[in-house]
Amino acid sequence: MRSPVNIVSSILTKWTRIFSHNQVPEPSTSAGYLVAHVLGKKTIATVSKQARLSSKQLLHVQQLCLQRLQRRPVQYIVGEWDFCDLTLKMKPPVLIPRPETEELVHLVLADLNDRCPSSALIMDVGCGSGAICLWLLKNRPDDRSIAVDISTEACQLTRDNAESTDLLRRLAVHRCDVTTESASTLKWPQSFDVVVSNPPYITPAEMADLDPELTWYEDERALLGGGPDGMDIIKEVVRFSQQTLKRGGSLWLEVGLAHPPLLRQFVMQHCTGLNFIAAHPDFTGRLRFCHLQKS
Amino acid sequence: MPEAPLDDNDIILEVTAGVGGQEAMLFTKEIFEMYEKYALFMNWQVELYEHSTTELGGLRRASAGISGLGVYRFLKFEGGVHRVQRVPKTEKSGRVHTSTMTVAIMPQPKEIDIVIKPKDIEMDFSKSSGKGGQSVNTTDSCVRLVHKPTGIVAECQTERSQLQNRERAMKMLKARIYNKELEEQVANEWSTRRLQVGSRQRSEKIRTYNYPQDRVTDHRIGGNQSNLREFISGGQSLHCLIKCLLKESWKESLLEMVEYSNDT
Repeated sequence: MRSPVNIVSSILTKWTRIFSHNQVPEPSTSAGYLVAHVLGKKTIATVSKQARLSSKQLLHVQQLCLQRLQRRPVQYIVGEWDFCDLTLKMKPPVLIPRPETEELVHLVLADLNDRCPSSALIMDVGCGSGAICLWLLKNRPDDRSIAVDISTEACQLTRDNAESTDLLRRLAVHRCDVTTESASTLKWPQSFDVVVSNPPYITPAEMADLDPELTWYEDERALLGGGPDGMDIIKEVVRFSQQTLKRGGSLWLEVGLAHPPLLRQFVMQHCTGLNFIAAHPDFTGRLRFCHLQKS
Repeated sequence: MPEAPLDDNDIILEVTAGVGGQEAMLFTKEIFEMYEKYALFMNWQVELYEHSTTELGGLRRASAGISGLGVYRFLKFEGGVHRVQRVPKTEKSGRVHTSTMTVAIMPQPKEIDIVIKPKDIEMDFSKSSGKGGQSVNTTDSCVRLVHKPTGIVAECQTERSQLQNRERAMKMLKARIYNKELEEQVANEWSTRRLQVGSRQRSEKIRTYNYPQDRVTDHRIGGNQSNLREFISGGQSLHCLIKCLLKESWKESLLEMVEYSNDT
């Protein structure tokens, strides 16, 4: 006897099959999150597979799944996502935080706890949804932060997330393009204990291979690194840090997998006063996080 | 009552359906919920690690971390086989069936109790296409950890954040490794006590829930509790039984001490 069409397990099977058939990535995971969302839960793990959906809920699931069929990222459909233990609003085209960045913030936290036992001033370059600066502020109650982004939408989203996490008091957000000379020399000379950034680092070759989830919905300015090796923006952030870091301050960067050795070379050859301290691996064991320090 | 060494540890509660097919899985769900409610009653914190539901509404297995004051102390004697006797919802002829489920209570190790080398742990997670990072959107955050020297595994997918799943899987892994070590130590001890903890309890029938007769019987101290519905709601009734068990256990350990000093 077939199960009735309005129970969770049937709905999951149905939409997983439809997503799969239409080459939507993570078909069953996507279906799980969307059904969970309609039922008011974060993940499908705790939803009873026998729960029945009302016709209103069934319609809601359908609406969300149609969006997914158009390759809209789950995080944008649901309107929020978790970054470590922080729940943040997600809104296109602001970049959705990646799991690797959860590791970056822990490295920065350890560095801050080590060098700045009392309070510190943190600069988040390219703040996006605010994940990095907000998580650091939450875990360092005496710190303050300035966050900048080239995108007005990103700045607004960061402010919204700061407000909903009750951290706006310690954060100032500015729309700013750090590649312009004026940004670094005029505004914040030698001010920061830490500059942290997840700058766009994708190469032109990689751009061509990106899924529609990224190219159709996320801000290209948050992805395209610039230059043949995707390092243009990274280099700008490094230059910006040279001017704005305190003596002994740290620059922490998340970069593409090919970048750590290139960055090390760049710093050695072109950046007086900045030292490449180390490259750290992500959870796949590949080097991705670069630690630089101003001497 | 004096505290035993692990009494103030947090625990991991694991439930597994036993004999009885769907009915056993429904019963597993009810018992898991009983402990979730008891945790609420006792003002403890519950973190869900694993939760495998079945298509027909039952629970195959589940794991949760429970933390708070005296968690291990109060829950340590809940480990073992729980048995239910009732007419299943799907049963047409009105016959009473017996089904079982197992509860395991594992104290979580403190920092100093356990040393795990990072290189001994293998982590499986959603393989993002090639380069990871900015180049892909990933929502599958399931993490599976394998402790290579012992083969012990822990998996978590209850959270959206991969890091949170990893942290919970790690807590589960550490508790399982720690408990394996603990049980190896205890295995050589001999005791006639009715109230014991550890792997020997895993297959012991400790309690029967009889619906037609509306009673709960703990087989270690005997006696019956009525109002099964109240008992299974994880409140005062369960708490009273647990306090009785603790008192009995203390009496037994005193007795053992006295016998030991008489023999020497």
